[in-house]
Amino acid sequence: MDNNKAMLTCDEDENKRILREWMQNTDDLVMVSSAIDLGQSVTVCYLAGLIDGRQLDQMLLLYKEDKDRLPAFQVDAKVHTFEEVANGLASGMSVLLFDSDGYGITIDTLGVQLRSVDEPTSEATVKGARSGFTESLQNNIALVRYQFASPSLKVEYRIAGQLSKTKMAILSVGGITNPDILQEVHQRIDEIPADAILGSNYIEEWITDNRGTLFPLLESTERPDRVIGALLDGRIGIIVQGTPFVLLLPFVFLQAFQVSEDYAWSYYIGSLMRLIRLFSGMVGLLLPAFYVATVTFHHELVPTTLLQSIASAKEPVPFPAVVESFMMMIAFEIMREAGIRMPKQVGQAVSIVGALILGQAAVEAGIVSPIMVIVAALTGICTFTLPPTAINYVIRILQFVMTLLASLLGYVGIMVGIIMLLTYLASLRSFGVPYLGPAAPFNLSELTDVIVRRPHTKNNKRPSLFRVIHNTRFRSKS
Amino acid sequence: MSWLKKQQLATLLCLCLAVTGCKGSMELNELHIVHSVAIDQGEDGGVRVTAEIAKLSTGGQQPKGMQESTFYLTSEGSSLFEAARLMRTKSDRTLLWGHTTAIIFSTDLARGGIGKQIDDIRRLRQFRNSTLIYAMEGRAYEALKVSMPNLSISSQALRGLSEGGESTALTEQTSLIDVYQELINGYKDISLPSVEVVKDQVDNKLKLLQTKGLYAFKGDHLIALMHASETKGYLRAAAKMNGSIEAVACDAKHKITFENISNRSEIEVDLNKQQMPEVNIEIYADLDLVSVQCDKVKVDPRTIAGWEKEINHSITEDLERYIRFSQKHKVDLLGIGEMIHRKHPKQWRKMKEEWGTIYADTTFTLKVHGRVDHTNFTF
Repeated sequence: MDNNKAMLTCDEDENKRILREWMQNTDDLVMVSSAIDLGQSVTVCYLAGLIDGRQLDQMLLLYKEDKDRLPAFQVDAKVHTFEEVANGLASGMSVLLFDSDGYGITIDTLGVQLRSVDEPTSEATVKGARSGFTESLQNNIALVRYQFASPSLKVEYRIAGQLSKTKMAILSVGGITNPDILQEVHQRIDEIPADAILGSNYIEEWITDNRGTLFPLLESTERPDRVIGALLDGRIGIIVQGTPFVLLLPFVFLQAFQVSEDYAWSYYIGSLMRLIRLFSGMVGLLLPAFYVATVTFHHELVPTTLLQSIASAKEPVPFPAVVESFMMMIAFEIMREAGIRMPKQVGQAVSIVGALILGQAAVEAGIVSPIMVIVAALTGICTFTLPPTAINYVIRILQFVMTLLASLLGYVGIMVGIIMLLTYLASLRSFGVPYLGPAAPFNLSELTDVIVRRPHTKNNKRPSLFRVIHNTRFRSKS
Repeated sequence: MSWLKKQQLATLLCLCLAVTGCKGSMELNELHIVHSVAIDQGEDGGVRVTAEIAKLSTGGQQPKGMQESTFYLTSEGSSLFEAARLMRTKSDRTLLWGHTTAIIFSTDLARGGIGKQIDDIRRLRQFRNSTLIYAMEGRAYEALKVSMPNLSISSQALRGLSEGGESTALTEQTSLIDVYQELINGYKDISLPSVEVVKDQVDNKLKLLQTKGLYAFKGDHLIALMHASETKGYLRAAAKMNGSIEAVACDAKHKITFENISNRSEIEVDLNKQQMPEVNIEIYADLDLVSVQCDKVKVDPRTIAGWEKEINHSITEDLERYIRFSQKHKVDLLGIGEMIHRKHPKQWRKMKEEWGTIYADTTFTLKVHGRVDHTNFTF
């Protein structure tokens, strides 16, 4: 197949032979010759299993009745080369080869059994929409369009991956999304040299601003309402075929604490939930470090009665506090990982063993102190309050770093850690947007919809952070 | 910056942390938590320090917290610091002084001055400002060995006892920073609450701690003990009183008792023509009727007015007792001197040297405005 421009010939057998070669002599390639009209025979080619047979029959019948109804076949282009035919077949099209005339037409007859729309498992809500994305690109776009029925919603298809030919859709809103950012996205996607894109994270890693960073510079979500909210803020969505996770960009750090459910409750409740998430993010990052620093360096800071309790609990424990906390944190990470991977049937066994051994028996055996169990448990639970962006995992990793710093230098170490972390975060950019915005650069009015939630009636401005074209959402009538 | 340089910097940073880190870290099971300290006169003019240290029991599922038992370490040295350091020779762990809740001075030592000891304690930086200070007649360490019924750690007992001063006005919480502040500023003389070991009135074997009365100091030297009514008078005049009990007689044997619920005092100082200070103290006290022991008591505005008169009288007596005490011992606990200093700085400069004698001759005018607010449904 050196010559990519190999044209279809006018000989039926020759066409079949070459096409078969193009398709690596695969066994599921079906080629049936049939006479459609007097004197004209066509070869119907498709990959068995990938197409919907009933749809194909219907199409052929329609075609027999009236050849001029070609547009009804979703045929936008006649194909002339073997490469086009082969690519079409591979992506689930059926191809009609008009052998005598040396061209073919492709018919979209893709018919694969996919999961139906389901509640998103990673982002559950109590109140709010319950539909989540699936693996189907078309369906995912439809889910967005269904809730955001506006002609300004723009969908642009792109294909990435030389081998996998993964289809993706770039979603933006005309009149809101900044065209510069959109163009940057196009450019970065077009430049992806990868041979296969097997999920949205492949895209994320290729187009991110900083490939070495621990922090996610793109967000991914399973929820259509979150995507629509992001689009309305002037952000861009990328739906990748075959993954229910849609990428949203640009992404700033504080968005990791937002959940679409915040907007489903009254703003007091929404704000409170958001504050709790921020607080527990901080607790998750700092609590073990704080505990270790306090009990090894700053005993004076603890109230006497509490210190007495901690001391008598710590008395039989042979390890230094930092070792103890590392043991518990690692054990917790193992438990969590096991919880995700294990089959549901053994779930109970793992949780019993985990709770009994790590919780009770370890304390009774004097390996860890009960206070440490509380600290580890609280820290672990705190990180679960955050929506499942990668920030979650980042916080867990940084926990260890912070604890290590705390064990070396006490509170000074924690401060060193926090300062270094903030400096680093301030240096990050996501598609040109400062990662710490709107906290740094500081913008009070925008922070009111980031730290807490603004009432819908007061939410008349889009965040300027994403450099939207038109930043008024609505004008209040009064 | 080149990659190599970055790497070198990172290594340097890690080395800094690793080499300098961990200094000063102390695991909890390498420490003894000192809860209270008693400071006595040692031999040859030295200091004898006794520390009450919590004994931590191991193996229990539930930590006992402040219910743990304690043990004592004593050592002597020429200074407080030396004595405290030498204590380490008897202790298997480093002593953590930062959680000391109470320091008890023996009166013997206090008569010779506590200034140096307070200074030493301040220098140790570990002690909290809120550490409570007490004085005790006899040997101070004996107070530590008394175990209160529910608390074996006497520092907790002492803290609880001095909080009781808010409802009895017989003692007062005095913290390290209060004492240090007054010693440095010299605005007024200090007083320390007294602790004594008493026997329970019912169970004779039961030894209890009791805080009643204040020790008055002149500078840093202990002068004398103020007893109950003097203490009450002082606390009332200094507006440090929250609650107390006042009783007036209603017939020959019985009394009517009132609870003091609020107290305000206004002190005004001026100099008369002879350049002698004149002090006006006005007391505004609100009281509630809590107990009537006599029969046939009718509560009407007239009786209440009568009670108020008697209350005023008894409060005035308390105040007079305090003033007599302070003039006798020439201790200025209310800070009258400082008030003159602020109002008449020029005259104060002349008075300063002989303030003790001048204070003893100062005329005090007392006015008490007691008011019975509530009779608590007693008809």
